[in-house]
Amino acid sequence: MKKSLSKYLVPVLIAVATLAYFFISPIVQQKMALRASSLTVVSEPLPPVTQDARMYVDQIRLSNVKDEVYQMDGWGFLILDSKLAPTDYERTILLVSDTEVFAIPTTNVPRKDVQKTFEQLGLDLKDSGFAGVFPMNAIPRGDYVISLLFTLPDGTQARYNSKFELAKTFNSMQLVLKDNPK
Amino acid sequence: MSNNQKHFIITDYLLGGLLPLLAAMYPVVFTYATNAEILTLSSLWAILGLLLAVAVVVYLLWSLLLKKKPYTAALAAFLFMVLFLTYGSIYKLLTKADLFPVRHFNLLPLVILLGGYLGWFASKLSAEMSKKLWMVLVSLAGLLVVFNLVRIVPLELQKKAQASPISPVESVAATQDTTGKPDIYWLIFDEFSGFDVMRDYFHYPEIDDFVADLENLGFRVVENSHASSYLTLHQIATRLNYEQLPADLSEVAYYGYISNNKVMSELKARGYTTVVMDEARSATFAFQAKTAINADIQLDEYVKSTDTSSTMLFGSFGLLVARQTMLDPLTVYYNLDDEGIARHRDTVYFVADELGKLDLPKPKFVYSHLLLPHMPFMFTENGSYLESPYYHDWSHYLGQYKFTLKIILQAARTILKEADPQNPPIIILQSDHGARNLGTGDSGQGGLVDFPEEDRTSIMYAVYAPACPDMPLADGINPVNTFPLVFNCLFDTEIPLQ
Repeated sequence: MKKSLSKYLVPVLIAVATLAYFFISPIVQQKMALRASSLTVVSEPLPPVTQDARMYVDQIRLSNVKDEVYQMDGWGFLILDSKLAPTDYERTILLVSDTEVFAIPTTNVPRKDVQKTFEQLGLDLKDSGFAGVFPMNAIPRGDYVISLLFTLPDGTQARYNSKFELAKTFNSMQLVLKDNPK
Repeated sequence: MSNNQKHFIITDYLLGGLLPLLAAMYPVVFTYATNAEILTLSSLWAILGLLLAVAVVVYLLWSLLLKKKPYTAALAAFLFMVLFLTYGSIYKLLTKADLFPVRHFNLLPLVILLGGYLGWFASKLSAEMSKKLWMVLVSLAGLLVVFNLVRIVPLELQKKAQASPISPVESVAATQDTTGKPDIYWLIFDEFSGFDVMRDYFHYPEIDDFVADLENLGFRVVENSHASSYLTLHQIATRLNYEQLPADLSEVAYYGYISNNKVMSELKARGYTTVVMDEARSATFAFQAKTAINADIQLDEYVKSTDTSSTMLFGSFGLLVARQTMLDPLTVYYNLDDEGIARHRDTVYFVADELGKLDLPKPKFVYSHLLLPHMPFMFTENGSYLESPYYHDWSHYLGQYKFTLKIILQAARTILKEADPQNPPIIILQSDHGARNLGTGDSGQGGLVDFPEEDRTSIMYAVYAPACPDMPLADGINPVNTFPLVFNCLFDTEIPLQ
């Protein structure tokens, strides 16, 4: 009995170690990918949600196959009496779940169509588009409300929630309209 | 050990190796047999050689581990090869099931370990049992390989029989009186939607600026022309033979109709030099098995890609097979797109800038088939390049279409600028079919929403023919009449219109 146990101990241990590696290594990779990316974990309380803003998420698309980096495209702006244009303040994409909040820096994207659609607001919305990139594997599994965080030149912040959620599973990710079933 | 015994052992080792080798051969010959109509045999060897080499290495390793047990080593190697050859499929299956995180870095060691353990279990079998199992498996694998070879051989013979010897330019009949015969250009732009689809579905009213540009150049623009199908080979074969062929023939049958077609035979008999630029054959993402058209000059060789950064070892077929195997994790580093895409880009610019400048014996018939605005959607409307993830995303079709408009105008202007004003050419601009919205399923990339079925056959049709002012080009005309219209005008033939 003892002999046969010791005979199989090494193969069993190797199998257990490989299985443990199978399940643990993706968790480690997620932490490493998060650290290496431009994503930040938001630990401070979020600013209040404003209704004086508009935003839309057009798509998430794979922009780098090797590293599984995705780009989120959309537009968003604040409606302020001061008529500030989106280029006058900072916009950050927030992915908000029940337990975690991630922030993705954005770049400005020209959107003449948005300018035309919201002409009656009298705002300069030529560059109201935004794009933010993030590696898929840096984000843990969960459902994330997609919001925009607006940071004004004086440091005040406001947040606007979109109608979209990012549904991240173990191996995939998709954009979901909140009212629709996944 | 006697010489006899040594001889038997060596024979057993050689025989044993058959099993992993057949296992390595099977996916290659099966995949090739399934796609034989669009592939060439040359695409087979690199990936087959690589998989056979892997099988040999695996068998040698197991033979070293399981000394003097060649059939057991063969069984162990076979089991490992099964896992090696199906790894890509296992990965995709587990990823899709989404029950736990699956990455290559965590799955690959697990599968390799499983392969090792299976071999270990196989080593517990008696030599006699191993040999029996080996015989059963080698017979099965051999049958599967032979079955697929039987599928491949007749097709290859048929393709070979259709391959036309290319005649040198000097063979053009010099005795014909070709005085005053104009050059004829037939420029096909694959997947180019008709103007009505641009207005009504894509809401692109600026298409009328393009129509006006063509008319200002002297083109007559046909509206609402529809192809009889949305199949490239069927359409080209139909127009080059001015005969409404069935739309359900095999690819190989169409190759024959296109290679030796009525249009070029007629023109050669009348002293024309026939010139072909056929991306439907030369592009890496097209019908690579398509036989060359029997023409005097093949222009594909004129286009030399400027991109030499990558070398093509596998090609698209090899990559297709490799993605099913343990080579899958490496395929993201294998930039197949680079060379094929660079060549496509250079062909597009060649047609726009150089096609009209070629100094070739006159009169000439030039057939150019560009896979534009066909996938890959690699151009934005301004001609900058998109990245490979967007190549199959139909939201980029319109941008590439707008870029194609510029290419068409550039090509037409170059031809007209270089032409003899006393003997202007005939230029026919057409598409084979319209946008088809194909290939949006598995890739998960965006397709055209609510795209009408009838729009798939809507084509461009415009003709520049100052020598034929009375050509009866009516709106909605069937493109099968493309060459009867030209021949009836130029050669006074009386080919009935359909």
